Amino acid sequence: MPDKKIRIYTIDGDSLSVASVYDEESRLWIEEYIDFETTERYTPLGRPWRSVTYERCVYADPVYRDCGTCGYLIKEQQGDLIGVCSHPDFKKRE
Amino acid sequence: MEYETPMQVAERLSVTVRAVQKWAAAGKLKGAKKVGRDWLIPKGLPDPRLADAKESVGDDVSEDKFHIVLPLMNGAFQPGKSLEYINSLTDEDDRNIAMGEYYYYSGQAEKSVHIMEPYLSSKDASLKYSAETTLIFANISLGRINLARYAFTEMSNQNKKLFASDSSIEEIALGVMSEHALAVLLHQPCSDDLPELEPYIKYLPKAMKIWACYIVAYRAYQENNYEKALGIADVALALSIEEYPVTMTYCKLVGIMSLLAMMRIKEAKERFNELWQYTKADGFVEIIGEHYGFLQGVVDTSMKKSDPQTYELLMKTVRSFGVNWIKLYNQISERSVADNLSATEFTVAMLYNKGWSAQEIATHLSLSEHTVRGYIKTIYVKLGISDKKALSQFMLR
Repeated sequence: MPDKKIRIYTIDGDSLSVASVYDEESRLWIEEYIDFETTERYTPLGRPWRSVTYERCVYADPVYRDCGTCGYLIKEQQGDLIGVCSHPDFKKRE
Repeated sequence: MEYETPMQVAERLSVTVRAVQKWAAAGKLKGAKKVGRDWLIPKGLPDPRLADAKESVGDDVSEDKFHIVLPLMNGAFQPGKSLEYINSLTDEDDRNIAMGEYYYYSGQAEKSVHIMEPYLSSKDASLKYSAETTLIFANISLGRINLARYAFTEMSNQNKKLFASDSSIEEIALGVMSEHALAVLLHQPCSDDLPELEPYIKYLPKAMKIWACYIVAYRAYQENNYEKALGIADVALALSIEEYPVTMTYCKLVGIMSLLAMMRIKEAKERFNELWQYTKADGFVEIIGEHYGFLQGVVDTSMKKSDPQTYELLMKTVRSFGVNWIKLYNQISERSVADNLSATEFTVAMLYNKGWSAQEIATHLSLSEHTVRGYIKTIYVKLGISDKKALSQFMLR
């Protein structure tokens, strides 16, 4: 079994390559994400990548306050832990 | 001559009033006289069980022999002296039950079950009750969820019969308390016809009064009324004259949980450090393990470096009790993947579910925010979820 797997996320025309590491204890592949807050990354449409674990946004669900429950997060597949924020306020301005 | 009422004697000897009345009727309390429906007992008479023990060595257990309910939990002893206290119990069955409790509290659930199981068929209500209560929790630790659930239902059924019978008020009080305790601690709903606990507290033995206050405080904590929970716990502890290390540990823990919930972290840490000094001499790690999920990282920050050996032992109990506890109360969590959460992941999950931000968790656990997000991501992968709302369905409410 390989000790690393790569998945390519493609949203909005941007492709992001994410490596997974195999966790022996849980026997699961765990993806390794960069910190999108310190290393910002935008799609060609100027939308920022986000992890479902971010929770400092005023537009997030008022109860849970995380990107995971926010309707503005576009994911490639349901259940993904990263995606792209589609709220116009966060679009990168030229 | 000065006299005591049966209630005063019962409090002094940690038995029920009914037991004292039976002793009086059997002539075991010298000089006791019946006035109307009740008894007046000469003040300061010795415990008649001591005389029983001297007289009945080698004899079968007599019908009017009264056993202490959960003798270790009800025991007054100095911290660190639990084994000496157990050995001082004159009755063999009380000693066995106390030892079974000791094994459970000290993280040896298998041994506890071994001692307690034979008492499930005991004809003595106190012995049976003690065994059932301990076995519910010991079976949770051992992952025998169905057995724990079964014992819980059995106890509820027995209590229903008890409430409908002409049992003494003290016996009913014990039944009411036990059902409230199990409902609160196992996050199970109370039956609709279960009486309120508060009016019955005064009929409980001393140590049980403290535990009942812990239950009431725990209920307030669950209702997010943290000031009330803290107040009840502190008052119960302040009013107790004697040391009851088991019940007092429970009460102290609910106070610490409440402080943490109110973000009074420094006070919570100070109290936990004090509590650990208080509890560790007896090795009662399981009591802390039972509450680990609500102690929100204070155990890790206080013990991990200062007492790594005990911390490891504690984590062992946390792994078994915490995860199995989730299984017990939450059907959705009965996926094997829940077993894979590490102790730190479990803590992070509890904190995150309680509404702490990743930044607040990071500060509390002395980690970077990115590391905390890494933990949350791993928790999500292990639980097969992708947002906080789904997490809330897994965690203790």
